[in-house]
Amino acid sequence: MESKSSEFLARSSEAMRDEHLQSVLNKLRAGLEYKRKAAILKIPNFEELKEHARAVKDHTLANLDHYLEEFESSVIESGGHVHWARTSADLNRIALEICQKAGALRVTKSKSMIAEETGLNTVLEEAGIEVTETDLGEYIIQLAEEPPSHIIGPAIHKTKQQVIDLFKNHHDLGERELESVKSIVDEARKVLRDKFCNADVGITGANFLVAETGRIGLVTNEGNGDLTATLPRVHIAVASIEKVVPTPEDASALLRVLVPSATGQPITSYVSFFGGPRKQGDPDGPEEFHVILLDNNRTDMLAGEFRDMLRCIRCATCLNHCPVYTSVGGHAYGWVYPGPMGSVLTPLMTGMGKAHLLPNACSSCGRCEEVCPMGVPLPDMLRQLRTIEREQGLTPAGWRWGLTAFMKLLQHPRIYHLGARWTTAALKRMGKKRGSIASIPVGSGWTKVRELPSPEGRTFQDLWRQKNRKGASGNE
Amino acid sequence: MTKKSDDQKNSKPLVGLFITCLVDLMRPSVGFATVELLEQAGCRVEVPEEQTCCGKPGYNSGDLANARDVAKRVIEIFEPYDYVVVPSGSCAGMISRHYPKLLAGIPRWENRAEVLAEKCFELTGFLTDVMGFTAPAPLSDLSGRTFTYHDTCTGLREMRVKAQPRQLLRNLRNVEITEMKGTEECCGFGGTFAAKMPDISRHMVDAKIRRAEDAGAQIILGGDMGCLMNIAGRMKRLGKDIEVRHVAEVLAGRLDIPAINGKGE
Amino acid sequence: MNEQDVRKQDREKILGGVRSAVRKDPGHLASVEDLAKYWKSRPSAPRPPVGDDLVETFSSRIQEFASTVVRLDSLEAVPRYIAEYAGTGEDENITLVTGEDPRLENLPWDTAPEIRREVRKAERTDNIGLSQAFCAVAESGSIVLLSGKADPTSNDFLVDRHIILLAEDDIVPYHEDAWKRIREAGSSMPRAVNFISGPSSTGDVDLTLQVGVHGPRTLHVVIVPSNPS
Repeated sequence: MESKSSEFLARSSEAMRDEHLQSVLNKLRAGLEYKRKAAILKIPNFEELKEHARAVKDHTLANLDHYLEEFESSVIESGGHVHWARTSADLNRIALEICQKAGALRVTKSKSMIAEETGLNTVLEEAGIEVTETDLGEYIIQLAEEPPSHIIGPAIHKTKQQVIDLFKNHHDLGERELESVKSIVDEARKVLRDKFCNADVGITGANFLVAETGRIGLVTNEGNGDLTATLPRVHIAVASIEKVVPTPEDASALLRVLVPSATGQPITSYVSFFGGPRKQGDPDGPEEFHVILLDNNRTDMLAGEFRDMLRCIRCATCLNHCPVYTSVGGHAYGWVYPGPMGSVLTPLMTGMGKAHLLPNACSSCGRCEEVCPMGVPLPDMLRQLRTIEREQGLTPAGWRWGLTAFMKLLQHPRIYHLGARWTTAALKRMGKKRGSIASIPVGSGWTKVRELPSPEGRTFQDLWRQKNRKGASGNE
Repeated sequence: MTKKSDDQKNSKPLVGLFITCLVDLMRPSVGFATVELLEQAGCRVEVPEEQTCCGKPGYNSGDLANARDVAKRVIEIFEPYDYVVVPSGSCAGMISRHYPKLLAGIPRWENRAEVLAEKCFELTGFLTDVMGFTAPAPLSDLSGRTFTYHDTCTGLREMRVKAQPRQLLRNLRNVEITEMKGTEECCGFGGTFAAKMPDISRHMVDAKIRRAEDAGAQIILGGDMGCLMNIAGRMKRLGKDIEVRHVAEVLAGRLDIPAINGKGE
Repeated sequence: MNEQDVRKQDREKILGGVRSAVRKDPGHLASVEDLAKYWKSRPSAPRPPVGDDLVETFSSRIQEFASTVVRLDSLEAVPRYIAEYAGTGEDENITLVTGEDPRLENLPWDTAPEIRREVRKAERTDNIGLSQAFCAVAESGSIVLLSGKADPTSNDFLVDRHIILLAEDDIVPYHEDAWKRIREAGSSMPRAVNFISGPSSTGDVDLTLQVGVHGPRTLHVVIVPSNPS
């Protein structure tokens, strides 16, 4: 997908003016935060489960070459095919070729962030293939022709009324009126049933790739992934290389921290493992099974200082707990992955040039790291990206030189204290009347939205020295 | 001086007060309140004159080279003390969580950073967890007004400050905190973030203020001047009058000093 | 270069990149022997506590979200029970879709003549489906179903109302125990292994939980004794 991350500031301002969006974000923040907390409180050894999940992923990443090859041979052994895509374009090309070889006219898809990353739908549609998203959230944003705004709730930015209006425009509702959430869901069920049953190819993502068994793991509540993987003639799973785990038991271990973190449920309605074409005697299942493995800069991440990011299991809890994400929503970020994890991934995948603002969209509050079930040090990574931003000369000049001068000044205490003394006196004078200062020349972003409170007028160091001198002379 | 009092003096831990650039510049009262509390708790306090700032603004903005130099200075200045105490979770977190990362792998310095990190504390955490400071009876009763507490992010997550200020307020000044919703959510300060992305920062601080109002607070307390200036400055811009104060001042019984968002003349 | 060579090259480039990225990692195990040793000595995963009464734990956990559970005293009572559960109260026939499962075959269906049993793969219009669970997991309140003749995957996802028969002894404490059973059951993995813990649901509209999006709108578990005497 094309990145619009450079428009972050304008898009976020717009988002904060959007009342509908703000009401949804408030609901999201309060709801999911509470649900996650309640779910975790029920698991007395959650910390231990987290530690284990992290160890599983660290071990897998440290031996990723081995497990990728094992996964490949397991898939082949069960009659499936594995394809390797270095870039988004490669993945799209391979998927299109499989569809065309199968003579596919209609494709159903279950939610895949990888397909969002590569922009797969557009490529298939341009080749004349009808693509239908079947996750309800994805279906809604497909109708709205919008990108997802959240990695597990792609349409959370839409209000109920907005969804009803979309359905009115795109479905033949006749006399029927949609009102309740249930009526919306029933309508979607009816339309999507047709799509499931008439699709030639089903494309799913994968939460896990199980090396030992050559299976892909799907974690959903709707069951759309299962229908997508079962009814069409061909099943294609698209996944990035870091999704591999050694054994099914390891997938279960990750699941124990994934679901409570993501939705506050102990487990989703459906956790399914699929692999290979239908077996002899199977009454259903696809005739062909393909997995396309995507790199898209992940080997670089594996080799460098951002490897820990590959532990991310896309639970989205960092989004739900990020004060910036819950202020501006997902679209402000301008690409596929929003929030803290997105502000790390987007610059690494789309380049620093367009995305360098994102690592700055962070107040370093540390909540993301606190709630991350995989212990990804998100604030450290965002800081590291700001370091790279500075090295690449992308930091605005005023900030760069101002801060450099400040940091140099800190190393010259005498000049620093003189400056501090002068500054505090000057500020005191400026704020004398109001008790605060309405506008300052340096760092004017501060006074754009708030006053600068008046200082007391003398520095502590100054007063301390004076007091101690007096105290000393008093003793004499 | 007699030998006995010498011994007494030596048994008191020697604290180097890291005053922080914001307290130094904006609100010396917090510094004096801090010294008073530390002395009451049985410490000897010194304020090294050579200190400036912990260097976090540059560190957070990617200027690692200068941040390293600043960190080395702070280590040199403060390593002679038994403890380093900071009336700020943010600067304490910088020293005790980030210096070791910043200087990791640099011979000699890595170890020195880790040693300093171990003895660096946020004020209320130090008074409670290290000094076990309590008063037999409240020193004064400030319970007449409704106080709420904003858990500043770095204090909470990097320095594990949560119960300590509440416990001290209760014990020293008979103040029971009226909790607001989302007390652990960021106020939107975030150092340079507040000036780099003012609109998002405003959105965050407005939520904080709304919640303090919903709790019926008359005074918002916190342990970090940055966050407090942010909340106070926004409050002032909005013409709202919940007082914003540093917890150290209240612990020292100083409600007579004008609030951070105090009125002018 | 032909297409196949290009593909091979891409594979090599990715794997080569991965190899050079992990080669020097302290956790990297260079040889197959080292890996085997790692797996031998790997401590088992920590697990959340599960009470002693597996039937009770399973039942209460699966009922936390929109599923229903009933316990019957005997296997023989099942057809009659299903007739009551699924019936409309009028003397109408009930069509029940099942896979080719000998365990279901052997139930005394003659006790429930109103049930018309159709042994086949489910279609989109089918209303009620019956499956027998391969096993169930107490930890998360999950039914485990395996694809195949006995229970085509379609039957678990296309019907409106899904009834699942579960033998008491088939409830295991943890996911790991379920995997162990699956490994022991056959020479190779079935195409699909489904852990089902509730009816189909979504929170995608208005963040409101709504049951019955694509798959079954209801999930009803019938627990029966393992040894019908």
